Amino acid sequence: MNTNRTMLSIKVIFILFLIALPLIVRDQYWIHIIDIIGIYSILSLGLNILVGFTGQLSLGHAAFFGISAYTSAILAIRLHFPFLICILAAVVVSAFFGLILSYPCLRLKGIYLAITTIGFGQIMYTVFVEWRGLTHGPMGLTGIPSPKIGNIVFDNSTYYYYIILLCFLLALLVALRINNSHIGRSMKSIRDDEMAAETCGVDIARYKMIGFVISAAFAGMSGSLYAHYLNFISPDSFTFDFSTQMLIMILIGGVGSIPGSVIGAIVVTFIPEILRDFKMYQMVIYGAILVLILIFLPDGLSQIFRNIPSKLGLNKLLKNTNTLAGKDNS
Amino acid sequence: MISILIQQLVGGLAIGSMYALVSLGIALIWAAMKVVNWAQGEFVMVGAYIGLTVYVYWQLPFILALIVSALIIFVLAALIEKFAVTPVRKYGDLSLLMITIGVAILVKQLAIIIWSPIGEVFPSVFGNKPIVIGDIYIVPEKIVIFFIGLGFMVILYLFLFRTKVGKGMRAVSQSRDIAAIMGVNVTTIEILAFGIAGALGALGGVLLAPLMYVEPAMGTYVGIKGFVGAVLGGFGSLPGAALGGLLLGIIESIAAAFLPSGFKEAVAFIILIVILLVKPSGLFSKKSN
Repeated sequence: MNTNRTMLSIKVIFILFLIALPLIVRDQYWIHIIDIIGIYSILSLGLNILVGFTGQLSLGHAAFFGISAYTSAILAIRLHFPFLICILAAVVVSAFFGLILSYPCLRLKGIYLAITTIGFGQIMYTVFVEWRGLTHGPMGLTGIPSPKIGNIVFDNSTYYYYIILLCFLLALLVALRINNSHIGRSMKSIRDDEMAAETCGVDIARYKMIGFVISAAFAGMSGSLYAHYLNFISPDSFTFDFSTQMLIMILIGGVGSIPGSVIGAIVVTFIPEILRDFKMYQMVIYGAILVLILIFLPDGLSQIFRNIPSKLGLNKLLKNTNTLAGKDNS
Repeated sequence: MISILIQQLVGGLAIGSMYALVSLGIALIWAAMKVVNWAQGEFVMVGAYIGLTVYVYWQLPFILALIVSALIIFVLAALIEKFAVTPVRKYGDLSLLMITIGVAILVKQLAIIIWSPIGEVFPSVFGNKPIVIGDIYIVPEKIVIFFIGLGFMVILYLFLFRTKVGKGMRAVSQSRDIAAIMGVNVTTIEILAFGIAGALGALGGVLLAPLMYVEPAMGTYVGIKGFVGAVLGGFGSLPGAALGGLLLGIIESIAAAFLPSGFKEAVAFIILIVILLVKPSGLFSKKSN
C-alpha cells in the first residue's frame, strides 16, 4: 500500500515536471532539443520492444520512421487532411509495413535477420529518393503544415512540446503495459530461449509479428511528429546511419529497459550538443564516447541508475526501479 | 542488347571481385571468431584513402599503394580486435555488433578529419581507353582489376590451406576450444584473422578506387555490399562469400543497364530477400537453418 502510494506520487511528480518543463527551460533552442528528445524517445521505446523484449535485431528502422513521415506529409500537403488523421494514418501504414517485413523475418535469425532489415531500409530509402512524383526525390518535401486545433497553430517548439508530450506519455503507457502483460512475458521468453518458449506453448511467430507491428507503429507515431515539427523532410533523414543511431540509443540506455530507452534518446541527442565547441572533432569524440560506453557499461546507462539506490541504502525504492526497468522477470 | 550485356558483365566482374574481397574479410572474421564485423566497410574506405595518398599525392607506384594500404589497415584492424572487440566479447552478440558499429563511426569521422568530407576522383591506373571488339566496348582496367582480385583470392586460399597458421585458423573456425587444446594460439589467430580481413578490405578499397569515387561515405556503402555478398553465399563460408560477392556485382551491373540507376541498390536487396525467403541460410551453405 505504502509502496503503491510512493509510486503514484513519483508518477504524478514526473508528469507534472514534464508539463512544467518548458516553463523552467524557457530558452527556445533547448526546448527544441527537448522536442527532438521526445520524438526520439518514442522511436527508441518502439525499437526496444522489438530488440530488447523480443530479441529481434532491426537495422532498418529508419525506414518505418521515413514511411510514416512521408505518409503524414503527403496526406497533409496533397489532401489537406488534419493532423490527427495524418498521424493516425501514418501509424497504421507504418504498422502495416511492419507486418509485411515480419513475414520474411519470422524464419531468419542473427545476421540473416540483420541483413534483411538493412535490405528493407535500403529499399525504402531508394523509393524515397527515386519516386520523385510522390516524394520529390532528394529535394524532399517542404511546407508540411504544423498541426492546428481550432485557432491554435502549434508552430513553435513550446506549443509543439505538448503534442509530443501527449504522444510520448501514450507510448510510455503502452510500453509499460506490454512490459507487464502476457505479451511482454511471451516476447521475453522468445528472446531468452526460443525453443524453450515454443515448448511452453508460446506462439513464436505471432509474438514476433506483434513485436514488429508495435515497433513499427511507435516509429510511425514518431515519424509523423517529426515531419509536422520540422515542416520539412528529405531522404537524408532516413538512412542506414539513422537506423544504427537508433540502435545506439537503446544500447546506451539499456537493452530491454523502458527508462533506458528514454535515457538513450537523451544521451544521443545531448552529446553532440555539448560537444559543439569542439567543432570538427565533435563527431570523433562522439564516436569515442560511444565505444567507451559500449566497452565499460555493457548494460547501458540505466545500469548506473539501478545501482545508485542500493548504494544510498534505499532498498525499498530499488524494487520499484527494477520493476520500471523491466528487470524483475527477465 | 547482347553487347550491352557483355559490357555490363565485365564491369560486374570487376566490381564483383572487389565486393568478394570485402565479403571474404567479413566471412573470415565470422568463421574464425563468430564476430560480425561492421567496420569492414570502413577498412575499405580508409584503405582507398591511403591508396589515394600514396599513389596520387606522393606519386609512388601503384603496387606500393596496395602494400602500404594493406599493411596499415592490417595493423589498424589488429589493434581494433585487441582493444575494442576482445573486451566486449563476454557481453554477447548485440554488444559485439554495436562495438564494431561504434568503431566504424569513429574510423569514418577520423577519416573525415584526416582527409576531407568531400570525395575525390582516383585516376585510372590500368588505362580506361576501351578496346573495341565488334560493337562491344571493354575497358581494360576492369579486366585487370578482376584478375588482381582473383589473384588475391588464390593467395588467401593458399594461405589457409598450405600454411601452418592458415591450418590453425581453420581449426579455430571449426572448434575454438579443441584448437586451443591442440596447441593453437587462439588469441594470436583471432588477431591475425581480423588483421587479414582488414588487409583484404584495404586491397579491395584501393582497387575499387579507380572504379568509383573515393569518399568517406563509401565505407558504409561498400560495407553493406560486402555483407550482402557474404549472406548470399551462406554466412561464414569462404567460397560462398567469394561467389556471393561476384554474383552481387554482376546482378547490380546488369540491373543498372536496364533500370533507372537509382534502383540498382534496391534490386540487389530485393534479390537478397527473395533468396533468404527460399533458402534462409544463403545460397551456398551446406547446413540448413
